[in-house]
Amino acid sequence: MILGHFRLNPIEVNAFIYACPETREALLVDCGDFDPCLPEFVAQHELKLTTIFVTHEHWDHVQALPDAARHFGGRVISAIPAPGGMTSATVAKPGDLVQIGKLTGRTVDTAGHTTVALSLIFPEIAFTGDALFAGSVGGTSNPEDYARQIENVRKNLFTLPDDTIVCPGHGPCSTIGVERRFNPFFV
Amino acid sequence: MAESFVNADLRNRDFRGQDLCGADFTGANLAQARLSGVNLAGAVFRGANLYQCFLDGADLTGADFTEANLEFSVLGGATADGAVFVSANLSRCNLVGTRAHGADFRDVNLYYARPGNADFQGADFRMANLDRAIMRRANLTGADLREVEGKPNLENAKLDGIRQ
Repeated sequence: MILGHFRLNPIEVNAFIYACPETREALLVDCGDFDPCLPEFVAQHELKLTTIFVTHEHWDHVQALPDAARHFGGRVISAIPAPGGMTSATVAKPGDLVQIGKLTGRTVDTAGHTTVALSLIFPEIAFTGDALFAGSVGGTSNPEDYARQIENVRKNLFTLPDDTIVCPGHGPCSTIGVERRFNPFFV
Repeated sequence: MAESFVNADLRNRDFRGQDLCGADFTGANLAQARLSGVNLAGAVFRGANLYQCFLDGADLTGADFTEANLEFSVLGGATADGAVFVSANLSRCNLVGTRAHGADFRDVNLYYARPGNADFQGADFRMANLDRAIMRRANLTGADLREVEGKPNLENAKLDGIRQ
């Protein structure tokens, strides 16, 4: 598995680079800051970054998107229209497939923290944005959004295999099995 | 006889399904290795690099992580009763649901770690850095929190009989 985990900017937002080991094609998930560590990782692992995926609209996840898109080229696939002002982004909906080399990801609805949000699920790994953190969930502004978020996580993430790695928008990674059994917001 | 991996480069290695009880990983590089569910009771990780290593659900009973780097590692759901983490770096570490009765966390760095729902009964945290550690619903009954640094989130944590 080729996975880079980058903790960016003062509020410690995560960005991830995930790549197909056969074709070296790579994906960047969220881009709150365009730090030199991103192109360095791509070069070090001899990758071709072809896709940027945006989980939700918050500034800390999109503000450096234009810089990253300019540097890497390729396509931007997003849960919301014009992330970071990028009108050329393709808007995804739940159930869409995202191909990275020989790896096939699938988007699922994890709205609640924001009105629209998607997680991107590959067979061994899930990029969950701010829908699910290690031992927590992203904040919501009212009880209805909170209920929607909890339901979406239960329905669309907690049904994945236990050993699926969870790569969240902030903090350390986890696994679906750990979160389903021990996350204080669910047990 | 327990296996020896002293100073070995084990980055990204997948050890799932193996029994590594008592193995010696002193000084090894286990960055992003997968040890999920592995029996590591009594294993030695002194000075090892376990950056973003997956130890979820592992048996770490009595293991020795003295001065190891566990930043961003995943110990969620692991059992670490009596384990030794003295002077280890556990910053931003996932300890969700970890059970570590009587474990030795003296002088550890738990900055921004995530020990939600963890069970730390009787553990020793003297001189640990707990700043921004999210210890929501953690069980700290009987734990020793003397001389700790920083302000952890202790929402709904059990604090019966703690020493501070």
